[in-house]
Amino acid sequence: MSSLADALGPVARDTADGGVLLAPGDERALANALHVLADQGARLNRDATLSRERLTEVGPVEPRSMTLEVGAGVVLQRLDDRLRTFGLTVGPLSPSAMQLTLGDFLEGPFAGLRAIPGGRLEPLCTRLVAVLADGRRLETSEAPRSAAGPDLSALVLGGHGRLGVVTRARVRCFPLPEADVRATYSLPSPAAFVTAFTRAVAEGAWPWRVHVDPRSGRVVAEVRLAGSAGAVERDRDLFGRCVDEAGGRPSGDAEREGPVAVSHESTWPAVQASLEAGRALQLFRLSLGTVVARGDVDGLRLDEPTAWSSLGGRLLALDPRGVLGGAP
Amino acid sequence: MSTDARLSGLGSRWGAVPAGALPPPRAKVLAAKGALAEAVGGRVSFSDFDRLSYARDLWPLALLWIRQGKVPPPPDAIVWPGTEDEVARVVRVARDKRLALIPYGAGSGVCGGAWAIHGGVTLDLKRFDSIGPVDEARRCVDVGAGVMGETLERKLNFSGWTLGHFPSSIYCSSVGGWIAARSAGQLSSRYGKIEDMVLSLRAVLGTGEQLITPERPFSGPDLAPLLIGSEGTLCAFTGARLRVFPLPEGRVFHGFEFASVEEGLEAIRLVFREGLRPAVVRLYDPFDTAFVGKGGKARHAPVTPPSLRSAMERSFLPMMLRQVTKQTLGRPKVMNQLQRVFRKSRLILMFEGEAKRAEADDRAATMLCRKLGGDDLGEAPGRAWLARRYDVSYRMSRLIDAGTFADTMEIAAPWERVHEVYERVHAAASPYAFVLCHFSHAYADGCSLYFSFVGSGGDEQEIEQRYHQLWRAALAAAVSAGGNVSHHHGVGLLKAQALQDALGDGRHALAALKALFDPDGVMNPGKLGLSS
Ligand SMILES: Cc1cc2nc3c(=O)[nH]c(=O)nc-3n(C[C@H](O)[C@H](O)[C@H](O)COP(=O)(O)OP(=O)(O)OC[C@H]3O[C@@H](n4cnc5c(N)ncnc54)[C@H](O)[C@@H]3O)c2cc1C
Repeated sequence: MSSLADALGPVARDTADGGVLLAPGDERALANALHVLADQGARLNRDATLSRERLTEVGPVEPRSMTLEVGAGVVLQRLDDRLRTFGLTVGPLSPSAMQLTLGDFLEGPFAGLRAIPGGRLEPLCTRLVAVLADGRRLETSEAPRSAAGPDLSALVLGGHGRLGVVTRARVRCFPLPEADVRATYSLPSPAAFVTAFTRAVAEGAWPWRVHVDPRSGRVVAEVRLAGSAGAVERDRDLFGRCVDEAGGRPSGDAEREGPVAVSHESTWPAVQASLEAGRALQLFRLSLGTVVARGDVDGLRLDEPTAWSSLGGRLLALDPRGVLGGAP
Repeated sequence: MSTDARLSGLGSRWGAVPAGALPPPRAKVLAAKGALAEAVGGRVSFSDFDRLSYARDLWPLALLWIRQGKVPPPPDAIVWPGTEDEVARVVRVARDKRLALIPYGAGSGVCGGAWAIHGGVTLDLKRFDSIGPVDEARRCVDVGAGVMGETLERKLNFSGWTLGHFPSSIYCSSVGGWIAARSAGQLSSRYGKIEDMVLSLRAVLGTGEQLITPERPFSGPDLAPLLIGSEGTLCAFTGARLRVFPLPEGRVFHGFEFASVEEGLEAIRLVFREGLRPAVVRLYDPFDTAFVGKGGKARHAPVTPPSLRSAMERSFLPMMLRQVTKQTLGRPKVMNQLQRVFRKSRLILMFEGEAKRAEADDRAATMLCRKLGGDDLGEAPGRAWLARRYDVSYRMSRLIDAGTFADTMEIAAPWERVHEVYERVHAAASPYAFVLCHFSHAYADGCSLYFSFVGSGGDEQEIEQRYHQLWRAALAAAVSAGGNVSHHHGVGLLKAQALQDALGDGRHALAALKALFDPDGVMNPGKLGLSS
């Protein structure tokens, strides 16, 4: 056994490629491991890799708030499968997000964000529990919203585990849709598409995903709507009116296979530019400001960590020993 | 006019502030006069008149003190910077000379966030008053931190837009103050809280660095949520890029009466579960429903200025009111028991936006409310509320005039805890004040509870003691029942200890942020429970 794995004790093991895998089962074990790493002058994400394979506990569902406590190692797709038996779902996340563990979704480029009806982005979780670089525990409130000082969960969301490592969180769910329909529209231009769809989202429509395809001078958009029968009906009516106002019409065109490509977080102008260049896109997490877009489009890559904004980098000073690995 | 005479005049509403009530400015601040003046192009004041004006915000404790002729601790000086460079220069002077700096918006905060408890320099940001043109394509506007709420909303409305942020204090609060205290407007269920509207922030940190936070998408942690809600303890906001919405095309109002609070709460929960987002959701507890929340027609009685009131209005009626109020509110427990005879709970919903959608959403919500046994009251209660929506907050001072204390506590909790929080806070506050509550600012996973407290006591000392006992009891009950310490008023001094307790080990993370962004501890020391 390597000396680092040895020092870390039962929470660590050597890997075939000569590295060390750290797999704590709770916050205390993780905090202890961070102290050991610091004592050894070692760093997580460099000298040891974190595994959340033992952080997979799933608590009981709170049916009224539609929330439940979930270990950060649980894969979102598996969580969603399990939630179905309770008549709930994690909601419309993109396919790549669904393959992530809760921890990676919260800490990674997705920053744990989902879109809610009305087009606002909010974190998938209310309360989260994390261990900070100094080994201290951060536990945020489970109240839906707060004005009790700054929102400290921002130390974890999108932080790539470099400021704090999330161990579990209270996940917000949606009711499992009772209706799931597709509606297709033809619009005169990419600009008309963006106008119609941003308007519908701002007015309360909640599309699960949109396939949008520029074809011979027009744009064909197929939208998937899911929810209660009434909600789907209201959304379909709203989309119809917004499309109509933007000079479009319903279309009988069948869906084409959307591109399977890298996901980006993109702005609506970037989506428009991509459509104007004739590229088909799949859109998820449609919000007032940005969307998750699959296809050839400008934006932030969501499948891998990219260099932080310089301001985010300022926060690395919160880990003076660099025990969480420093800048990604 | 002499300063003392001016001070007396200023205090006349509450009884004169005695001459000499203000301590003289501290020597170390006086010694920095030249440097401060240089930093802000001469816009600095050490006058007692200004110091008294900036000594407080609208924390009701200040009103109690002023009634007693006591003055909250004043700042030693006030500066009015107009550029980010000037703010940065002031921060440098403060760091150099170890002076406290208290960012100041419009002073409408209700938790003592703008109190100068360590003296120092109040940094009034009202000269950051620019409002840029609306970027229609991106639906946003650049605004200075010192812009007042009503000014911004009126300007946006003029070109067909709205911010959608309507705190009751819209006439007397600033954009910077909203961001600093994580404010919520009355239509937040549709438009979100202020943090949902902020796309990017401009700020000067306690290090003197000037920054602009990036707009999504970007990689890495988001600094904005760590600064929003910091109440001047980490930075001074100078401006923000805010999301705007087109003015709503249509509005639909609907009132319902439920057999109990529990049923009303269940109706709200199901409305949000259905994905509906009414702009206004307000459920009044039974006493509020029976008296305060009632009202068919919109009334707009003009307020007679004091100088035009008759002797009867000026002296006799207030004296009578004081006697009656003191008698009744001196026994809040009995009053609170009595209100338990009321059961019914009134809900107001308002949908707005695209007209057909607003109507469709209203129909869906109506079906849900009826299914739960809600009596349909039509649109009158909602319209009446809209017409009077800013009135009630300004009535508080009359209660203070009447020799009582009055305050409000706004907290939030997940749905499974809301009723428990309501009951526990009610019980805990009951010995000290008459308690009312309404529920608003709803979400799919919970909502906010807004308590109003009115109490009295034998003399001013007892009143103040009860006031503090009330807050300790109410906050402890809220947190132990699963609520938080604030949904939208912030923390300031009032809830500083409660916040630190609620944060647990997380308080070290807050302290670490403070050390990073304000290494010398000059920014609003003592607030949020952060020491200097
Ligand atoms: C009658 C009444 C009704 C109210 N209704 C509501 C309501 O509906 N919703 C709601 O959210 N609040 C409400 N409030 C509370 C209050 O209006 C809010 O807290 C508001 O956000 C404060 O803004 P302000 O500009 O007055 O800030 P101030 O009172 O001047 O300051 C508040 C805090 O923010 C800091 N601060 C102010 N400006 C800046 C800046 N530019 N940079 C950094 N820090 C700064 C101050 O240091 C202080 O800690 C109400 C208050 C009153 C009196």
